[in-house]
Amino acid sequence: MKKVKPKSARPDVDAAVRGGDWSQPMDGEIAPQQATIKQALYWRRIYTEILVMEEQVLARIRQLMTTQSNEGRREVEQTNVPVVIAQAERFRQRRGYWDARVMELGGESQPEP
Amino acid sequence: MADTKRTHRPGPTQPLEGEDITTTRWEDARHWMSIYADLLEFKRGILARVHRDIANLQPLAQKTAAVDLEIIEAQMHGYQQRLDLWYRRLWELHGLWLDPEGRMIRHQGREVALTKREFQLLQFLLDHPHRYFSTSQILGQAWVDPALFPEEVRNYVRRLRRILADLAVPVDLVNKPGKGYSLVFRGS
Repeated sequence: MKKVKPKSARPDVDAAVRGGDWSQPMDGEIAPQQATIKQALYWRRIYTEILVMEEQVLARIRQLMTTQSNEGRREVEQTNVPVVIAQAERFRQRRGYWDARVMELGGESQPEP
Repeated sequence: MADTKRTHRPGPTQPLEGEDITTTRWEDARHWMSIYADLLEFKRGILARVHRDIANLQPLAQKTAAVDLEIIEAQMHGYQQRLDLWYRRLWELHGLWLDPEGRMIRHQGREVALTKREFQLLQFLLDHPHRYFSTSQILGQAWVDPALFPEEVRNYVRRLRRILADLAVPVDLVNKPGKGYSLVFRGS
């Protein structure tokens, strides 16, 4: 599912949010429907790890935001937060595809971290 | 924030909401300098966190997450540019002006002629505000002559400090152990 984002004056943010495109696989990632159980477990683990990391980064951003001035906080809210949320959402979605594939192949579903 | 498949991401060179570089109040310049300094510190905090977390990921996930570092660094570069801009504006508002042709420094109507090396050192430090430079960095970047002795830097720093004091320019040419030299606006 592709999202169309309006153009803004922040190309760094636009580029990063585009990176939150759910259909975008990682380098070397195969289509879930072609994967064996071993491959599906592997990719679920990769996405779980990176999702955990993004959530920890988001928590750190929110923690550091409390020390910012109003102008600084607004900048962070408009830049870092939506970027990390978009990326985390992408990883959550892709992790979901792999979790579904694991179940399809007889493995157990793993709750999100 | 990862895997955008881009190699170049310009940073936020646009002003923030309410930011006006044409202001004639030096207090505004100080205000925005402080905001950008805080944002840079904030980004350093995030960068440190991402660096630490990436080290614990699988190699493939590391590669994907490494793009986060590029984004953060590009944003930091943008903030640094805005901070530099505000520093320059602050110098202007305080009546500080350098004349590269005549190698002169002027401050509030008074002026002093500088030697080539004095001028190069002062211009280098003014062009890179809010950052510290070691003796060897000054030799290589301000004077582009790494063959000079480190004592030369200390000598020229002493001379510049005297000139800045004589002109009553409200800056200190500070030397922090382990960090190096920097021009710091008094009170910042």
